[in-house]
Amino acid sequence: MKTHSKWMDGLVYRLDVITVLALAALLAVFFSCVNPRFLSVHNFYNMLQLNAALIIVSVGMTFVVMSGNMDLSSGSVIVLSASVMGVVYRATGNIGLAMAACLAVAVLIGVLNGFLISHLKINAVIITLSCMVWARGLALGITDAKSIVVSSPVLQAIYSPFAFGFFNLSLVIVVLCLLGGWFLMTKTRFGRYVKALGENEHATQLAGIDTRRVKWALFALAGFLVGIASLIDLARLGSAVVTIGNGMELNAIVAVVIGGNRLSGGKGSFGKTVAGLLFMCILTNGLSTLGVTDDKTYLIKGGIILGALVIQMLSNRFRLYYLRHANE
Amino acid sequence: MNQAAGKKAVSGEQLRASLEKGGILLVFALLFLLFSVLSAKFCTTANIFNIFKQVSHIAILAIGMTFVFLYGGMDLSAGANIFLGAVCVAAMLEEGLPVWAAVAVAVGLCTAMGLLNGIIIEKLGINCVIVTLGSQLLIRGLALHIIAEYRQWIYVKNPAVLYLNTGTVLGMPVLLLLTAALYAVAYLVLSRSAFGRRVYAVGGNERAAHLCGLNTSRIKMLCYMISGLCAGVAGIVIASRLGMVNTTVGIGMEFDAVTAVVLGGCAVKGGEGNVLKTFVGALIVGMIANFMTLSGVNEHFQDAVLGGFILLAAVFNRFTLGKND
Repeated sequence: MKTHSKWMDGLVYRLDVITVLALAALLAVFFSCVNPRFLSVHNFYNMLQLNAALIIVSVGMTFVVMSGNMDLSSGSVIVLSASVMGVVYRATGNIGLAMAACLAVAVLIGVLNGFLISHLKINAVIITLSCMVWARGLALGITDAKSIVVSSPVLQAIYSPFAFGFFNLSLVIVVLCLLGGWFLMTKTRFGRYVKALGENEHATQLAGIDTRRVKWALFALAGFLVGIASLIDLARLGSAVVTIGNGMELNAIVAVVIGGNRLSGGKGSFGKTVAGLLFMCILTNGLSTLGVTDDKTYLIKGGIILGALVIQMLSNRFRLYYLRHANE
Repeated sequence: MNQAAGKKAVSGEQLRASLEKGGILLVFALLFLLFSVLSAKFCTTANIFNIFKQVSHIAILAIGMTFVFLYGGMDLSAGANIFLGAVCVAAMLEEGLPVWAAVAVAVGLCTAMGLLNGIIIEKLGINCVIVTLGSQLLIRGLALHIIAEYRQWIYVKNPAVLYLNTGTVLGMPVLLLLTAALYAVAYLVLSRSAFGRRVYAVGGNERAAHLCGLNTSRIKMLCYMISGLCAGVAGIVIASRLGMVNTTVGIGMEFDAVTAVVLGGCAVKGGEGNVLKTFVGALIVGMIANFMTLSGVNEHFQDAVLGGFILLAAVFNRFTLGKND
């Protein structure tokens, strides 16, 4: 019988988070070699600001993935709700109405997708895939693929600092979303039901839980968070740009999964999502500071994401192997 | 009383079964009639041949997608792969390679990309959606890298490749014959060969197939390779149709192929579907696009309608397919 020290067990138990943090550190070292200013407080702050929308979408995506589903529509819903907001603002000039319309569109699409997935029992991938296509088509259609400027003091307030010279409303919203998501997942009945759903849907239903309502609620919640992300991104850019939210679904899913949350659902935590987010933020931000052409950006990003997925999978295999043999 | 209820249930089941069998043909016929009534230009021989030509690359791409769907997977990198195929064949011809060599390089490279997907998905056990979303970036990046060498724009001047688009045999467009031949091969493989039955077996119940002694992971990897191969052929077709290749080729084409496959009644969980119905699905996609272009609908709204059709097809399949999807 082999003996294992406790801290070693603990280390291996957390190997998924350690792996992704190590990968993130590796990326950070690489990018700071190319660009010495990469590792600075200022750039880190910038990174948080640029990726505020991604962080908020990932909170919703954590719930969706934890329940064993997948949402491919977030990027398209962001561009659609931003476009609706732009169109409403251009027509009425009322920023309150425009913001309400933006959130309402995102929540409604979440409710619609949730209904189709939970009550009609259609595969989430195909429903959100179709939503990805029609929402983007609709967004480009109603704006005629042109940007709409939305300038209002309310939106500017989101990014203007009100304390310590850097602390602004967008940071508050991001922190609130993360804390709210964490609270909902770990401290409430809803969070437990979501995890149970991902672990075994049939058993959850037999335990007397209305799984359809839970599924519906979690897609509506994810839709709401996408709406907030759309608002924040629009406020950052100052206009409803047609490329807003491009690739968001991939970034969010990879952020959630690379941190070690199981894609088939049931297992995971917000800590893992945050670790995955750190990796994704460093990757996207670092690539934009490299200043390389489009083709190289695609190549590097695709290669690193696939490579990281493979490494994470291998480390997970080792982890399971170790944990199985540690108990013998 | 009971008997009457039983009879009603049976007829409901019969209705479901007949809808599953012929629903797609019914939808096709209804749409065809509707479009013919609404637009005078729609139902003409020239336009119908035109639809066949317009839809050929999607139809060929959808063959590979059908194989992947049948085993229960998804290939979202198909759109990027078609772009790689088109860029590759155009670039190789530009370098002065003979046609057969250029075609072989393009198809070979695309098949290799399919194999790469298959290896990562099968040997490492990572979800197919996330892998193909990631590899899509890699493949598009590779193709963009090649096309950047030619200032983002390559003309296809080779007469043999252009003949694919313009040529006719016995009054039929060559593209139509090529598509039909590929579908015939795919149909024979899926319904008459051992490999085809194995694909259905893996899609129906993977564990049972594995216990029966099938090498399930090799079958799945072959499905991804077929998807890559079809993307390569479709890439050559689109290079021939457009007469040039630029950076916008292939964007969103994976969705067209998925629409065709889902319209054709493939179960997303695998094990059910028929490649000939996929062809009807592809024709429906082409018909809708053609009709909307004829009636001057904005191209962005065309995308929206297409997305709506994936949704409708999924809902339709939910009520007609035997098992819950």
